[in-house]
Amino acid sequence: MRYAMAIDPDRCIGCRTCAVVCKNFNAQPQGIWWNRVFTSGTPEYDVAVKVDDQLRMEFVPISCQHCTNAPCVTACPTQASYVDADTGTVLVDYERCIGCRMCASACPYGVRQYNWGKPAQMAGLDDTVYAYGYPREYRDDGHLVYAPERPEGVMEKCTFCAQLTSQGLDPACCTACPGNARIFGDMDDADSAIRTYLDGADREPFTLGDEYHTEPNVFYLASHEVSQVNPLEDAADEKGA
Amino acid sequence: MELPDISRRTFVATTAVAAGGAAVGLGVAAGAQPADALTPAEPLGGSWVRTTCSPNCTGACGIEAWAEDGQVRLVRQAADYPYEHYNPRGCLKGLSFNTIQHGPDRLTTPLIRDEAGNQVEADWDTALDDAAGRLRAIMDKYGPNSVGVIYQVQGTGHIQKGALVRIANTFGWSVIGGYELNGDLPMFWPETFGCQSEELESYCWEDSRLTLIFGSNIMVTRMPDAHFLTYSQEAGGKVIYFDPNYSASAEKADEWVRIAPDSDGAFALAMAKVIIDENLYDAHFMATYTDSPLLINGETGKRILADDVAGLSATPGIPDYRSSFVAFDEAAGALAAVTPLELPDNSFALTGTYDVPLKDGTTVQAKTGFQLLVERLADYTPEAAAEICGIDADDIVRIAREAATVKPMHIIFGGGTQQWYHGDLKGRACALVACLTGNIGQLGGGISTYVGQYKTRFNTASWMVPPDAVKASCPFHYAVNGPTPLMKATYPKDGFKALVVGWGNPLEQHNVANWLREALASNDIECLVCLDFQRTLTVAEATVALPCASWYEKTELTTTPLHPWVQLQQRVVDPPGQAREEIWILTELADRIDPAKEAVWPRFAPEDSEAKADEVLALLLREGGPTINHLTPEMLREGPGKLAHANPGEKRIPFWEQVNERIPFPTVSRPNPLDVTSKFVRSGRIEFYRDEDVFLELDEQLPRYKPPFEDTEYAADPAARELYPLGYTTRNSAFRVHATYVNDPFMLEMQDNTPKVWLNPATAAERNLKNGDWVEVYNSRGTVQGQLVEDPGVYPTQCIFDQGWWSHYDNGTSYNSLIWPWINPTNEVYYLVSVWSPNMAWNETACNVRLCEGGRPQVVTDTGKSILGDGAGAASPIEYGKEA
Repeated sequence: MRYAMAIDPDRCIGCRTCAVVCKNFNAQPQGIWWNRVFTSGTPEYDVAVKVDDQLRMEFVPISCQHCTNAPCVTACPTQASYVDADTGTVLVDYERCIGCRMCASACPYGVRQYNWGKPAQMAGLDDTVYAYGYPREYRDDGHLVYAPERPEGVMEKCTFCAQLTSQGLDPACCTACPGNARIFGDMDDADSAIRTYLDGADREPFTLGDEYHTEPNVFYLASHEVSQVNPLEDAADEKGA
Repeated sequence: MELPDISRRTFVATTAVAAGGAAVGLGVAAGAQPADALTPAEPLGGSWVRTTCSPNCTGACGIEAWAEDGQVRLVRQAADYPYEHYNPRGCLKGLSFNTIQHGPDRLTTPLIRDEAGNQVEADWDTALDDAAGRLRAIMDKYGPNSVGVIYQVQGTGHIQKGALVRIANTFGWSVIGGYELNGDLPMFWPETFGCQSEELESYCWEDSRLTLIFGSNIMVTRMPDAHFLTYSQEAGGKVIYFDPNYSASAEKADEWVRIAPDSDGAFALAMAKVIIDENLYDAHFMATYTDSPLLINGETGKRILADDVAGLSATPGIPDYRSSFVAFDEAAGALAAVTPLELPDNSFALTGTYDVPLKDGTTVQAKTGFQLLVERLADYTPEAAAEICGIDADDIVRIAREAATVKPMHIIFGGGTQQWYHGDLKGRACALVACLTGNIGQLGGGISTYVGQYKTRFNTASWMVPPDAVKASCPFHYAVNGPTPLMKATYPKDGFKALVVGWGNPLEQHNVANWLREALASNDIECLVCLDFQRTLTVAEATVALPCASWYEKTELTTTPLHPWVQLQQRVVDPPGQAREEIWILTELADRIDPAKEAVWPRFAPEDSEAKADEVLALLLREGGPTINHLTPEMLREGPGKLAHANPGEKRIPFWEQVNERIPFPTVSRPNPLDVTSKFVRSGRIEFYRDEDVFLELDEQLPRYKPPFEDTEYAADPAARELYPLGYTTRNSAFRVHATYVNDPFMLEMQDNTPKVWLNPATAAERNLKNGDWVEVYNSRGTVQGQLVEDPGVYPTQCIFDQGWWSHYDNGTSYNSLIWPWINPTNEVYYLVSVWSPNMAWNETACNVRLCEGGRPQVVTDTGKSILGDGAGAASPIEYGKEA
């Protein structure tokens, strides 16, 4: 069994619901985003980017690529980062992580996020702390791979929502995407949702960063072109205002 | 329901595949045995409760929440809509509502003013007595209609929010409608169709084969519905997006047409000309359902009545709100009286000039409405329109041919296009294209608007209109501009002296927020009573603030024009602190203002609020009429219940009865009975020709193009043309619903906690401004600050600010301080209490931009971050907006 995720940018509207649901469901502290949606070519949101003679706003959701050949796992000196043999999911054991951040340096996708010091807590009502997210710890074969309150100084990242997939549920980002642009499943099963989707698409799936030979298990489909009438004519005859 | 509830969600996914629709990627990988995979997680225990996220986006998304220790910990979409493509429904804002529900800005205690005028906490008895006493004194002194009521869209809540309408109707307070407050539902609807609005529910979008979107950023403002456009594309349909500025909706369209700001009307008129000139129009539709064949008196510009014509008389038995006009019957070769009672096939001439003998012995020359339209369209050749729109004429011709030949074709008419002074003219032009192409009354066809959504989908009078109701309404525009010659509203003799605000933040969000603040400061408005669940500026400035339950803490009944599902909000957790359900608050307020009203407002204990809400729920469903009375509270406790509609098939089709059963226009605009609104289309047809005096005076009897700012900014101040050369667009943000969610820490992080101003790089360079500069947008009325973002997608004459930022986060400046509520006199002709009033033209604002000293205030840096004490002063350097 090999868990994988397909992302169809044609269906992605750049709303970032996946990112927020991921953060909320997995109790990510301030500054930590396991899952982000970038606009290709700019660090800003809601900004067009000149691509050749056109304007584009191409949304690229990025989270852990769950590489079969994961450089973060190779780099980890304590075996805190490991590939779950049953599912191919890349996980981090918070109890083994010593916070050396070798994995973050090794990851070509920049998806690992580090808790500098004691993780921030969210302000709640009347000077209390508000605790959000999945409220129970989750262990995979004894490894602590999810804890609602993060230990100090650990690395964290997407787990494919291990606490959900172990219950037979899809990761939160996949069930929550309003555009149904994220599809989860078992790549080894020809009848799985992800295989059905990828096999049925008229576009060839691709993975990110092939030059790193990481063999990611997050697959992307190409998005369509936008034909544009008068996209870049500067000053636009100063009409209308 | 217990966790894990694998079976139902898996079932949903299975259904999707079996339905053979677009593959929907839900569900577990087939064959995956959880036991063989990761160790199963410890079941959570407890239960998920289904409620409805229903703020002023009007999306009404089914959400499930899981609570522990009295607080919501997890939220997810319910994904239980029987029509699978509606699942999952809910966006990033609603799915992080828990952070503001239990956040530090939550209002949990009633607030009043002490003798020094300082805001202090109070118990409920004190606060309610204080509010009641102040309101009663103002009602006695200035009259009950001096109390203005601002409330949130009715469809977002009929029981608790409906209680505010009920109390307004109990005492005769002036309901300040949404049209002038929000500029939402476009006035072209009553001007053309005689109804408030009729729109496709979003699941009809997937049935369209061509969608023309004018200035509606669907991908941002209608996130839970946007995928239906994608599904239309996947089924071979095409989406063309018209907007001066690039956006997510331009990116997801098949084609983006970058037209000049406010030029959409010229584009639509040129399309109409091409469609008529190339004989691509649906002549049967125009002759049967529109006023095209009706004869117009060439001397007076008025439509000719059958009763005035020699040898003719009006259709017998027509009611007062109908008129029998005249057409030329080509089969009979004679003039004929046109019945307004039905819409039969006919042989009326669409074009031509006719001598019409009148009963007074004179003969006048008359032309058909269509003939006059053809003559008017002579001004809108593709070349002429191309000049106005700043594009090539060939593109207009090409798209016009597509619009005429690809069916069904659907026009989405957005706020970006509507919210201008001449927005109604543009709407009339776009409606003309929808009619010429015969798309009205067809599944996936026609014209829709998705701003505002004041439309009420069932009869609510049983709860909102108490016995002995006194209905009053007055647009706030008149408080600012003063009464006008054509004003039909009843203006309070001393103006508004008190405001009662429910679930709104007018001191930020009102188009004259600054004017309101000043009116409060000067005591011109003597009392502000505010019901809310967040500590907004309006709460902070209120005379009395009353803490309410959020939509996870009460029973409420919701509907939306975006989908057919009637849904409940249900209590997941108790309201925090002293916060209570609005139905209890308003019952107590009514009885304390006038104890004699207890028959209308029977008292109950706060802990019985749920039972009382249940009682009203049952009443509303029972008395709600044929669209809803098949539903019961028990059914809605189980999940969404579908509204009934008249046409066969699963999806409601607007105007189906008119087109297929030949029932005259208009459709009903609740809460008014049909006879109240029918007078706006006296012919019983779709009317493109308006013959009221003001339309004739302004040469707007037929749709036409009028340029922006000439009748407003430049007329008020000719210097504005030079001083404020940019158009100011306060668009909706992906991260807020108006001013709600502004304090959601996740939303703030994604925006770097910073209000921003978008300019084209050329526009910025002309002002020596660059990316990252802290700038000020200004005009003669006000200023707003933000960090500059150079964006080549912004039209060079435009300046964009994302509306909704609390001024608290923006050095006290307000984006609404630049806006002015211009009154278009044509809008006043169609005034109707609580339904129609002059539109708010947000975009009709000229501005300029300059460098500003300073930067974002520390408060926004601090407030947005989820830090307590010294928790994480040196937080992770990885922030949302930064490159990975």
